[in-house]
Amino acid sequence: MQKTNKKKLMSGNEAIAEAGISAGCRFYAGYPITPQNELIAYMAQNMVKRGGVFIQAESEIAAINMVLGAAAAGVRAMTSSSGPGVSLKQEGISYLAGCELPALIVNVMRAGPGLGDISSSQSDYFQATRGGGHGDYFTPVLAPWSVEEAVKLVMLGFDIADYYRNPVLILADAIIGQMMEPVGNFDKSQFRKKKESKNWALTGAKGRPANSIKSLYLKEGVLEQHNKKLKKKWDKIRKNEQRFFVSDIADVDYLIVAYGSQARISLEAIKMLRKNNIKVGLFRPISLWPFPGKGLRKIAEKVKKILVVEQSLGQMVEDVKLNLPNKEVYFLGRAGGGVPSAGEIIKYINNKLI
Amino acid sequence: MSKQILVSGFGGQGILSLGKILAKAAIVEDKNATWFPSYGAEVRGGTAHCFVKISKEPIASPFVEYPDIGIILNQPSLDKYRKQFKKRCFLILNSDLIGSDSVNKGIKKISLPLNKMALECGSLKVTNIIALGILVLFNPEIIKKDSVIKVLKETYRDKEILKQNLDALEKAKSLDIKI
Repeated sequence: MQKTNKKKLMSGNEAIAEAGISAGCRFYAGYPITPQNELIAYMAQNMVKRGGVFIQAESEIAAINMVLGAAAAGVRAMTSSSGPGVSLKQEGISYLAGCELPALIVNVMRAGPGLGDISSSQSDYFQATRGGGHGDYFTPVLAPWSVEEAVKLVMLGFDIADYYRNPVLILADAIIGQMMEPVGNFDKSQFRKKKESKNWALTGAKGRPANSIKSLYLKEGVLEQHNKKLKKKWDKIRKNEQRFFVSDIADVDYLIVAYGSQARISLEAIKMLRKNNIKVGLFRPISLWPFPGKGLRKIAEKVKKILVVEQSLGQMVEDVKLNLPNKEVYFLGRAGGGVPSAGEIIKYINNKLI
Repeated sequence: MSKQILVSGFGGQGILSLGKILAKAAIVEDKNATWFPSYGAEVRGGTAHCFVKISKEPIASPFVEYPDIGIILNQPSLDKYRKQFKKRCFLILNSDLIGSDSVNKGIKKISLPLNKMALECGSLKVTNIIALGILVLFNPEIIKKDSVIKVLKETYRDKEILKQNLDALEKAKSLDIKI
Protein backbone atom coordinates (compact mmCIF):
# COMPACT_ATOMS: atom_id res chain seq x y z
CA MET A 1 0.00 0.00 0.00
CA GLN A 2 1.11 3.52 -0.71
CA LYS A 3 2.26 5.60 2.21
CA THR A 4 -0.14 8.38 3.07
CA ASN A 5 2.57 10.69 4.33
CA LYS A 6 1.72 13.19 1.65
CA LYS A 7 -1.09 14.28 3.93
CA LYS A 8 -0.92 17.75 5.41
CA LEU A 9 -2.24 18.97 8.73
CA MET A 10 -4.87 21.57 7.87
CA SER A 11 -7.70 23.32 9.64
CA GLY A 12 -11.20 22.97 8.23
CA ASN A 13 -11.10 26.63 7.23
CA GLU A 14 -7.83 26.27 5.29
CA ALA A 15 -8.95 23.03 3.68
CA ILE A 16 -12.26 24.55 2.54
CA ALA A 17 -10.33 27.40 0.92
CA GLU A 18 -7.86 25.06 -0.80
CA ALA A 19 -10.72 22.81 -1.95
CA GLY A 20 -12.44 25.83 -3.47
CA ILE A 21 -9.35 26.83 -5.45
CA SER A 22 -8.71 23.19 -6.44
CA ALA A 23 -12.31 22.95 -7.66
CA GLY A 24 -11.66 25.82 -10.04
CA CYS A 25 -12.97 28.72 -7.98
CA ARG A 26 -11.23 31.81 -9.33
CA PHE A 27 -13.09 34.54 -7.50
CA TYR A 28 -13.32 35.01 -3.76
CA ALA A 29 -14.65 38.04 -1.93
CA GLY A 30 -15.17 38.13 1.81
CA TYR A 31 -14.95 40.07 5.02
CA PRO A 32 -13.20 38.78 8.15
CA ILE A 33 -15.10 37.28 11.07
CA THR A 34 -14.13 34.67 13.67
CA PRO A 35 -14.28 31.63 13.51
CA GLN A 36 -13.61 31.53 9.75
CA ASN A 37 -10.66 33.93 9.45
CA GLU A 38 -8.19 31.23 8.39
CA LEU A 39 -10.36 30.69 5.31
CA ILE A 40 -10.18 34.26 4.04
CA ALA A 41 -6.49 34.43 5.07
CA TYR A 42 -5.73 31.33 2.99
CA MET A 43 -7.58 32.86 0.05
CA ALA A 44 -5.59 36.09 0.46
CA GLN A 45 -2.33 34.14 0.35
CA ASN A 46 -3.15 31.74 -2.46
CA MET A 47 -5.95 32.87 -4.79
CA VAL A 48 -3.95 35.43 -6.76
CA LYS A 49 -0.95 33.06 -7.08
CA ARG A 50 -3.29 30.53 -8.69
CA GLY A 51 -4.60 33.02 -11.23
CA GLY A 52 -7.77 34.09 -9.47
CA VAL A 53 -9.14 37.24 -7.90
CA PHE A 54 -9.17 37.86 -4.15
CA ILE A 55 -10.97 40.83 -2.67
CA GLN A 56 -11.33 41.76 0.97
CA ALA A 57 -14.56 43.65 0.51
CA GLU A 58 -15.74 46.63 2.54
CA SER A 59 -18.61 44.58 3.94
CA GLU A 60 -20.32 41.21 3.70
CA ILE A 61 -23.05 42.77 1.55
CA ALA A 62 -20.45 44.05 -0.91
CA ALA A 63 -18.73 40.65 -0.92
CA ILE A 64 -21.85 38.65 -1.84
CA ASN A 65 -22.73 41.12 -4.60
CA MET A 66 -19.20 40.86 -6.00
CA VAL A 67 -19.70 37.11 -6.02
CA LEU A 68 -22.98 37.64 -7.89
CA GLY A 69 -21.13 39.68 -10.50
CA ALA A 70 -18.40 37.08 -10.93
CA ALA A 71 -20.96 34.26 -11.12
CA ALA A 72 -22.90 36.17 -13.80
CA ALA A 73 -19.68 36.29 -15.82
CA GLY A 74 -19.48 32.50 -15.62
CA VAL A 75 -16.67 32.22 -13.06
CA ARG A 76 -16.74 29.79 -10.17
CA ALA A 77 -17.12 32.19 -7.24
CA MET A 78 -17.33 31.87 -3.49
CA THR A 79 -17.59 33.78 -0.25
CA SER A 80 -17.50 32.83 3.40
CA SER A 81 -18.51 34.22 6.74
CA SER A 82 -20.08 33.31 10.06
CA GLY A 83 -23.61 33.90 11.46
CA PRO A 84 -23.80 37.72 11.65
CA GLY A 85 -22.05 38.10 8.29
CA VAL A 86 -24.15 35.42 6.63
CA SER A 87 -27.29 37.27 7.77
CA LEU A 88 -25.99 40.32 5.89
CA LYS A 89 -25.44 38.21 2.77
CA GLN A 90 -29.03 36.96 2.62
CA GLU A 91 -30.25 39.64 0.22
CA GLY A 92 -27.50 38.68 -2.22
CA ILE A 93 -28.18 34.96 -1.84
CA SER A 94 -31.84 35.57 -2.67
CA TYR A 95 -30.76 37.51 -5.79
CA LEU A 96 -28.41 34.67 -6.78
CA ALA A 97 -31.32 32.22 -6.50
CA GLY A 98 -33.64 34.57 -8.39
CA CYS A 99 -31.06 35.09 -11.14
CA GLU A 100 -30.29 31.35 -11.20
CA LEU A 101 -26.59 31.90 -10.62
CA PRO A 102 -24.24 29.26 -9.19
CA ALA A 103 -22.03 30.22 -6.25
CA LEU A 104 -20.70 28.70 -3.05
CA ILE A 105 -21.38 30.35 0.30
CA VAL A 106 -19.62 29.02 3.40
CA ASN A 107 -21.05 29.60 6.87
CA VAL A 108 -18.75 28.55 9.72
CA MET A 109 -21.38 28.88 12.42
CA ARG A 110 -20.87 30.67 15.72
CA ALA A 111 -23.25 31.21 18.59
CA GLY A 112 -26.03 33.80 18.40
CA PRO A 113 -28.46 35.54 18.24
CA GLY A 114 -27.03 38.95 17.44
CA LEU A 115 -23.27 39.26 17.66
CA GLY A 116 -23.38 36.37 20.14
CA ASP A 117 -19.97 34.87 20.68
CA ILE A 118 -17.28 33.14 18.62
CA SER A 119 -17.71 29.65 20.06
CA SER A 120 -19.14 26.72 18.12
CA SER A 121 -22.83 26.45 17.41
CA GLN A 122 -25.34 24.99 14.98
CA SER A 123 -27.71 27.89 15.37
CA ASP A 124 -28.15 28.75 11.69
CA TYR A 125 -29.91 25.55 10.57
CA PHE A 126 -33.26 27.24 10.05
CA GLN A 127 -31.73 30.14 8.14
CA ALA A 128 -29.71 27.81 5.92
CA THR A 129 -32.40 25.25 5.14
CA ARG A 130 -35.36 27.60 4.62
CA GLY A 131 -33.87 29.80 1.93
CA GLY A 132 -32.63 32.40 4.40
CA GLY A 133 -33.44 35.53 2.44
CA HIS A 134 -36.69 36.87 0.99
CA GLY A 135 -38.77 35.21 -1.71
CA ASP A 136 -39.63 31.65 -2.58
CA TYR A 137 -36.35 29.79 -2.86
CA PHE A 138 -34.06 27.13 -1.43
CA THR A 139 -30.33 26.52 -1.43
CA PRO A 140 -28.80 23.06 -1.19
CA VAL A 141 -26.96 22.85 2.16
CA LEU A 142 -24.02 20.51 2.81
CA ALA A 143 -22.67 19.90 6.33
CA PRO A 144 -19.19 18.33 6.75
CA TRP A 145 -18.17 16.39 9.87
CA SER A 146 -14.43 16.31 9.19
CA VAL A 147 -11.76 18.34 7.46
CA GLU A 148 -11.47 15.67 4.78
CA GLU A 149 -15.21 15.65 4.12
CA ALA A 150 -15.24 19.46 4.00
CA VAL A 151 -12.91 19.19 1.00
CA LYS A 152 -15.23 16.73 -0.76
CA LEU A 153 -18.34 18.77 -0.06
CA VAL A 154 -16.83 22.01 -1.35
CA MET A 155 -16.04 20.26 -4.64
CA LEU A 156 -19.45 18.61 -4.74
CA GLY A 157 -21.06 21.92 -3.79
CA PHE A 158 -19.57 23.69 -6.80
CA ASP A 159 -20.76 20.85 -9.05
CA ILE A 160 -24.30 21.02 -7.66
CA ALA A 161 -24.30 24.81 -7.98
CA ASP A 162 -23.24 24.68 -11.63
CA TYR A 163 -25.55 21.81 -12.54
CA TYR A 164 -28.70 23.37 -11.09
CA ARG A 165 -27.62 27.00 -11.54
CA ASN A 166 -28.27 27.75 -7.90
CA PRO A 167 -26.27 28.99 -4.90
CA VAL A 168 -25.09 26.22 -2.56
CA LEU A 169 -24.29 26.55 1.13
CA ILE A 170 -21.59 24.80 3.10
CA LEU A 171 -22.81 24.80 6.70
CA ALA A 172 -19.87 24.05 8.98
CA ASP A 173 -19.67 24.72 12.69
CA ALA A 174 -16.75 26.43 14.41
CA ILE A 175 -15.35 23.09 15.56
CA ILE A 176 -14.99 21.90 11.95
CA GLY A 177 -13.55 25.25 10.88
CA GLN A 178 -10.98 25.44 13.68
CA MET A 179 -9.97 21.84 14.10
CA MET A 180 -6.94 20.46 12.25
CA GLU A 181 -6.73 16.99 10.73
CA PRO A 182 -4.52 15.27 8.18
CA VAL A 183 -5.93 15.85 4.72
CA GLY A 184 -4.49 14.70 1.45
CA ASN A 185 -6.69 14.53 -1.54
CA PHE A 186 -7.41 17.74 -3.40
CA ASP A 187 -7.55 15.94 -6.72
CA LYS A 188 -10.55 17.50 -8.39
CA SER A 189 -10.85 14.92 -11.16
CA GLN A 190 -12.42 12.31 -8.95
CA PHE A 191 -15.20 14.61 -7.75
CA ARG A 192 -16.05 16.62 -10.79
CA LYS A 193 -18.82 15.60 -13.12
CA LYS A 194 -18.76 16.86 -16.65
CA LYS A 195 -18.14 20.56 -16.80
CA GLU A 196 -21.37 22.47 -17.28
CA SER A 197 -21.46 24.74 -20.30
CA LYS A 198 -22.18 28.25 -19.10
CA ASN A 199 -23.65 29.57 -22.32
CA TRP A 200 -25.97 31.79 -20.26
CA ALA A 201 -23.07 33.80 -18.81
CA LEU A 202 -22.44 37.47 -19.52
CA THR A 203 -19.22 37.21 -21.46
CA GLY A 204 -19.76 39.79 -24.19
CA ALA A 205 -22.41 39.26 -26.88
CA LYS A 206 -20.19 39.63 -29.93
CA GLY A 207 -21.36 37.12 -32.52
CA ARG A 208 -24.22 35.73 -30.44
CA PRO A 209 -27.60 36.86 -29.13
CA ALA A 210 -27.35 38.86 -25.90
CA ASN A 211 -27.81 37.04 -22.58
CA SER A 212 -29.85 38.55 -19.79
CA ILE A 213 -29.53 37.78 -16.08
CA LYS A 214 -32.05 39.35 -13.70
CA SER A 215 -34.44 38.63 -10.87
CA LEU A 216 -36.97 41.39 -11.62
CA TYR A 217 -40.10 40.27 -13.52
CA LEU A 218 -42.78 42.96 -13.52
CA LYS A 219 -44.98 41.87 -16.39
CA GLU A 220 -48.16 40.17 -15.22
CA GLY A 221 -47.80 36.42 -14.79
CA VAL A 222 -44.16 36.29 -15.81
CA LEU A 223 -42.78 36.03 -12.28
CA GLU A 224 -45.21 33.23 -11.48
CA GLN A 225 -43.93 31.33 -14.51
CA HIS A 226 -40.39 31.93 -13.25
CA ASN A 227 -41.40 30.64 -9.79
CA LYS A 228 -42.91 27.52 -11.36
CA LYS A 229 -39.70 26.90 -13.23
CA LEU A 230 -37.72 27.28 -9.99
CA LYS A 231 -40.17 24.93 -8.23
CA LYS A 232 -39.35 22.24 -10.75
CA LYS A 233 -35.70 22.74 -9.88
CA TRP A 234 -36.33 22.42 -6.12
CA ASP A 235 -38.34 19.24 -6.74
CA LYS A 236 -35.52 17.76 -8.78
CA ILE A 237 -32.96 18.66 -6.11
CA ARG A 238 -35.20 17.17 -3.38
CA LYS A 239 -35.37 13.96 -5.36
CA ASN A 240 -31.73 13.64 -6.40
CA GLU A 241 -29.53 15.32 -3.84
CA GLN A 242 -30.40 13.76 -0.47
CA ARG A 243 -27.24 12.57 1.23
CA PHE A 244 -26.59 10.92 4.56
CA PHE A 245 -24.18 8.69 6.48
CA VAL A 246 -25.01 5.89 8.91
CA SER A 247 -22.98 3.99 11.47
CA ASP A 248 -23.78 1.08 13.82
CA ILE A 249 -27.23 0.37 12.39
CA ALA A 250 -26.99 -3.40 11.80
CA ASP A 251 -28.74 -4.11 15.12
CA VAL A 252 -30.13 -0.98 16.64
CA ASP A 253 -32.67 0.02 19.30
CA TYR A 254 -31.93 3.71 19.59
CA LEU A 255 -30.90 6.10 16.85
CA ILE A 256 -29.01 9.36 17.30
CA VAL A 257 -29.58 11.93 14.58
CA ALA A 258 -26.88 14.61 14.48
CA TYR A 259 -24.83 16.51 11.90
CA GLY A 260 -21.44 18.21 11.63
CA SER A 261 -19.12 18.06 14.64
CA GLN A 262 -22.01 17.02 16.87
CA ALA A 263 -22.30 13.77 14.89
CA ARG A 264 -18.67 12.97 15.72
CA ILE A 265 -19.20 13.61 19.40
CA SER A 266 -22.34 11.45 19.19
CA LEU A 267 -20.35 8.64 17.54
CA GLU A 268 -17.91 8.75 20.46
CA ALA A 269 -20.90 8.28 22.81
CA ILE A 270 -22.22 5.44 20.62
CA LYS A 271 -18.88 3.60 20.81
CA MET A 272 -18.94 3.79 24.61
CA LEU A 273 -22.61 2.77 24.87
CA ARG A 274 -22.01 -0.20 22.57
CA LYS A 275 -19.38 -1.46 25.03
CA ASN A 276 -22.20 -1.78 27.55
CA ASN A 277 -24.36 -3.59 25.01
CA ILE A 278 -26.70 -0.67 24.46
CA LYS A 279 -27.58 -0.77 20.80
CA VAL A 280 -27.31 2.79 19.55
CA GLY A 281 -26.75 3.85 15.96
CA LEU A 282 -26.01 7.09 14.13
CA PHE A 283 -27.89 8.78 11.30
CA ARG A 284 -26.02 11.81 10.01
CA PRO A 285 -27.59 14.08 7.40
CA ILE A 286 -24.89 15.34 5.02
CA SER A 287 -27.36 17.37 2.97
CA LEU A 288 -29.44 19.42 5.41
CA TRP A 289 -31.54 20.68 2.52
CA PRO A 290 -32.79 18.58 0.95
CA PHE A 291 -33.22 16.79 4.27
CA PRO A 292 -32.54 13.06 3.75
CA GLY A 293 -36.00 12.06 4.99
CA LYS A 294 -36.27 9.04 2.75
CA GLY A 295 -33.19 7.41 4.27
CA LEU A 296 -34.17 8.37 7.80
CA ARG A 297 -37.70 6.93 7.50
CA LYS A 298 -36.34 3.62 6.29
CA ILE A 299 -33.82 3.21 9.10
CA ALA A 300 -36.23 4.51 11.75
CA GLU A 301 -38.62 1.62 11.02
CA LYS A 302 -36.47 -0.77 13.03
CA VAL A 303 -35.66 1.64 15.83
CA LYS A 304 -37.45 2.07 19.19
CA LYS A 305 -36.62 5.68 19.95
CA ILE A 306 -34.84 8.59 18.33
CA LEU A 307 -32.55 11.17 19.92
CA VAL A 308 -31.65 14.35 18.06
CA VAL A 309 -28.50 16.10 19.35
CA GLU A 310 -27.67 19.63 18.26
CA GLN A 311 -25.57 22.63 19.23
CA SER A 312 -28.82 24.62 19.27
CA LEU A 313 -32.04 24.76 21.24
CA GLY A 314 -33.79 22.61 18.66
CA GLN A 315 -33.82 23.24 14.91
CA MET A 316 -33.07 20.09 12.89
CA VAL A 317 -35.26 18.19 15.36
CA GLU A 318 -38.28 19.74 13.61
CA ASP A 319 -37.31 18.13 10.29
CA VAL A 320 -36.82 14.80 12.07
CA LYS A 321 -40.29 15.06 13.63
CA LEU A 322 -41.82 16.05 10.28
CA ASN A 323 -40.44 12.87 8.79
CA LEU A 324 -41.27 10.59 11.74
CA PRO A 325 -44.69 11.64 13.04
CA ASN A 326 -45.26 8.28 14.75
CA LYS A 327 -41.93 7.95 16.51
CA GLU A 328 -40.84 9.05 19.95
CA VAL A 329 -38.31 11.78 19.17
CA TYR A 330 -36.19 13.12 22.05
CA PHE A 331 -33.97 16.18 21.92
CA LEU A 332 -30.69 17.10 23.60
CA GLY A 333 -29.26 20.48 22.72
CA ARG A 334 -27.15 23.31 24.04
CA ALA A 335 -26.74 26.83 22.71
CA GLY A 336 -24.48 29.79 23.36
CA GLY A 337 -21.29 27.86 22.72
CA GLY A 338 -22.33 24.88 24.80
CA VAL A 339 -21.49 21.60 23.09
CA PRO A 340 -23.28 18.43 24.28
CA SER A 341 -20.41 16.15 25.32
CA ALA A 342 -20.21 12.39 24.82
CA GLY A 343 -20.72 12.06 28.56
CA GLU A 344 -23.89 14.16 28.49
CA ILE A 345 -25.28 12.15 25.58
CA ILE A 346 -24.65 8.85 27.38
CA LYS A 347 -26.27 10.17 30.55
CA TYR A 348 -29.31 11.42 28.60
CA ILE A 349 -29.80 8.09 26.84
CA ASN A 350 -29.44 6.12 30.07
CA ASN A 351 -31.87 8.37 31.94
CA LYS A 352 -34.49 9.26 29.36
CA LEU A 353 -34.53 6.70 26.57
CA ILE A 354 -33.85 3.39 28.26
CA MET B 1 -8.08 3.43 21.34
CA SER B 2 -7.02 6.97 20.73
CA LYS B 3 -4.49 8.69 22.97
CA GLN B 4 -5.83 11.93 24.36
CA ILE B 5 -3.51 14.82 25.09
CA LEU B 6 -4.32 18.12 26.74
CA VAL B 7 -1.82 20.98 26.45
CA SER B 8 -2.43 24.13 28.45
CA GLY B 9 -0.58 27.24 29.54
CA PHE B 10 -0.78 30.96 28.84
CA GLY B 11 -0.68 32.57 25.43
CA GLY B 12 2.89 32.74 24.10
CA GLN B 13 4.16 29.55 25.73
CA GLY B 14 3.84 27.63 22.47
CA ILE B 15 0.78 25.68 23.54
CA LEU B 16 -0.86 25.52 20.11
CA SER B 17 2.50 24.93 18.36
CA LEU B 18 3.27 22.00 20.62
CA GLY B 19 -0.09 20.44 19.75
CA LYS B 20 0.46 20.97 16.03
CA ILE B 21 3.92 19.40 16.15
CA LEU B 22 2.40 16.36 17.87
CA ALA B 23 -0.35 16.07 15.27
CA LYS B 24 2.16 16.44 12.41
CA ALA B 25 4.36 13.77 14.00
CA ALA B 26 1.31 11.50 14.00
CA ILE B 27 1.05 11.98 10.22
CA VAL B 28 4.73 10.95 9.92
CA GLU B 29 3.75 7.70 11.65
CA ASP B 30 0.72 7.23 9.39
CA LYS B 31 -1.67 7.69 12.27
CA ASN B 32 -4.85 9.69 12.49
CA ALA B 33 -4.82 12.88 14.50
CA THR B 34 -7.09 15.72 15.50
CA TRP B 35 -6.01 19.09 16.89
CA PHE B 36 -8.53 21.44 18.38
CA PRO B 37 -7.47 24.81 19.82
CA SER B 38 -8.90 27.48 22.02
CA TYR B 39 -9.20 30.21 19.43
CA GLY B 40 -9.60 33.68 20.71
CA ALA B 41 -12.01 34.30 23.55
CA GLU B 42 -9.28 33.69 26.12
CA VAL B 43 -8.37 36.38 28.62
CA ARG B 44 -4.83 37.77 28.70
CA GLY B 45 -2.93 36.11 31.54
CA GLY B 46 -5.42 33.24 31.57
CA THR B 47 -5.16 29.91 29.86
CA ALA B 48 -4.80 28.86 26.25
CA HIS B 49 -5.17 25.18 25.49
CA CYS B 50 -5.43 22.62 22.74
CA PHE B 51 -6.67 19.05 22.53
CA VAL B 52 -4.76 16.49 20.47
CA LYS B 53 -5.96 12.99 19.76
CA ILE B 54 -3.77 10.37 18.09
CA SER B 55 -4.94 6.96 16.94
CA LYS B 56 -4.44 4.24 14.39
CA GLU B 57 -8.25 4.07 14.12
CA PRO B 58 -10.53 6.85 12.86
CA ILE B 59 -11.09 9.45 15.59
CA ALA B 60 -14.66 10.39 16.47
CA SER B 61 -14.86 13.40 18.77
CA PRO B 62 -11.92 15.85 18.77
CA PHE B 63 -12.70 16.79 22.39
CA VAL B 64 -10.64 15.54 25.31
CA GLU B 65 -12.52 15.00 28.55
CA TYR B 66 -10.10 12.81 30.51
CA PRO B 67 -6.58 13.09 29.11
CA ASP B 68 -4.03 10.28 28.96
CA ILE B 69 -1.34 12.95 28.87
CA GLY B 70 -1.46 16.43 30.35
CA ILE B 71 1.17 19.07 29.61
CA ILE B 72 0.55 21.96 31.99
CA LEU B 73 2.79 25.00 31.81
CA ASN B 74 1.24 27.40 34.35
CA GLN B 75 -0.76 27.48 37.58
CA PRO B 76 -4.16 28.69 36.23
CA SER B 77 -4.13 25.78 33.75
CA LEU B 78 -3.59 23.21 36.47
CA ASP B 79 -6.32 24.80 38.58
CA LYS B 80 -8.70 24.69 35.59
CA TYR B 81 -8.09 21.05 34.60
CA ARG B 82 -7.02 19.43 37.89
CA LYS B 83 -10.27 17.44 38.26
CA GLN B 84 -10.03 16.01 34.75
CA PHE B 85 -6.75 14.23 35.46
CA LYS B 86 -7.64 10.71 36.57
CA LYS B 87 -5.69 7.59 37.45
CA ARG B 88 -2.98 6.50 35.03
CA CYS B 89 -2.79 9.99 33.52
CA PHE B 90 0.77 11.09 32.72
CA LEU B 91 1.26 14.68 33.79
CA ILE B 92 4.11 17.03 32.84
CA LEU B 93 4.20 20.17 34.99
CA ASN B 94 6.28 23.35 34.78
CA SER B 95 7.42 23.90 38.38
CA ASP B 96 8.75 27.35 37.52
CA LEU B 97 5.17 28.60 37.16
CA ILE B 98 3.27 26.09 39.27
CA GLY B 99 3.52 26.49 43.04
CA SER B 100 0.88 24.10 44.30
CA ASP B 101 0.91 20.97 42.18
CA SER B 102 -1.26 18.57 44.17
CA VAL B 103 -3.32 16.28 41.91
CA ASN B 104 -5.44 13.14 42.25
CA LYS B 105 -3.78 9.95 43.46
CA GLY B 106 -2.45 7.46 40.95
CA ILE B 107 -1.22 10.06 38.47
CA LYS B 108 2.29 9.79 37.09
CA LYS B 109 3.60 13.29 37.63
CA ILE B 110 6.80 14.88 36.43
CA SER B 111 7.39 18.36 37.77
CA LEU B 112 10.43 20.18 36.37
CA PRO B 113 11.64 23.79 36.04
CA LEU B 114 10.88 23.95 32.32
CA ASN B 115 11.52 27.70 32.00
CA LYS B 116 15.00 27.36 33.50
CA MET B 117 15.75 24.34 31.31
CA ALA B 118 14.61 26.26 28.23
CA LEU B 119 16.92 29.17 29.06
CA GLU B 120 19.77 26.69 29.31
CA CYS B 121 18.99 25.70 25.71
CA GLY B 122 19.22 29.34 24.68
CA SER B 123 15.63 30.57 24.63
CA LEU B 124 12.53 30.66 26.79
CA LYS B 125 10.62 30.00 23.56
CA VAL B 126 11.55 26.29 23.60
CA THR B 127 9.81 25.61 26.94
CA ASN B 128 7.12 23.73 25.03
CA ILE B 129 9.66 21.51 23.26
CA ILE B 130 11.30 20.54 26.57
CA ALA B 131 7.87 19.30 27.68
CA LEU B 132 7.43 17.49 24.37
CA GLY B 133 10.84 15.85 24.90
CA ILE B 134 9.60 14.46 28.22
CA LEU B 135 6.44 13.17 26.55
CA VAL B 136 8.30 11.22 23.85
CA LEU B 137 10.96 10.00 26.30
CA PHE B 138 8.41 8.21 28.46
CA ASN B 139 5.64 7.51 25.91
CA PRO B 140 7.28 6.37 22.65
CA GLU B 141 4.17 4.28 21.91
CA ILE B 142 2.22 7.51 21.40
CA ILE B 143 4.81 9.35 19.30
CA LYS B 144 8.43 8.50 18.58
CA LYS B 145 11.16 11.06 19.05
CA ASP B 146 12.37 10.57 15.48
CA SER B 147 8.95 11.59 14.14
CA VAL B 148 9.10 14.80 16.17
CA ILE B 149 12.65 15.49 14.94
CA LYS B 150 11.42 15.12 11.37
CA VAL B 151 8.65 17.63 11.97
CA LEU B 152 11.01 20.08 13.70
CA LYS B 153 13.40 19.91 10.75
CA GLU B 154 10.52 20.64 8.36
CA THR B 155 9.24 23.46 10.55
CA TYR B 156 12.42 25.36 11.41
CA ARG B 157 14.71 26.23 8.50
CA ASP B 158 16.89 28.58 10.58
CA LYS B 159 19.86 26.51 11.83
CA GLU B 160 20.19 28.28 15.16
CA ILE B 161 16.48 27.97 15.98
CA LEU B 162 16.44 24.33 14.89
CA LYS B 163 19.43 23.57 17.13
CA GLN B 164 17.72 25.16 20.13
CA ASN B 165 14.63 23.04 19.49
CA LEU B 166 16.57 19.81 19.00
CA ASP B 167 18.56 20.52 22.20
CA ALA B 168 15.33 21.19 24.04
CA LEU B 169 13.85 17.91 22.82
CA GLU B 170 16.86 16.02 24.26
CA LYS B 171 17.14 18.09 27.44
CA ALA B 172 15.15 15.78 29.71
CA LYS B 173 17.28 12.79 28.74
CA SER B 174 20.30 14.08 30.65
CA LEU B 175 18.34 14.28 33.88
CA ASP B 176 17.76 11.34 36.14
CA ILE B 177 13.97 11.61 36.24
CA LYS B 178 12.02 9.45 38.67
CA ILE B 179 8.30 9.12 38.11
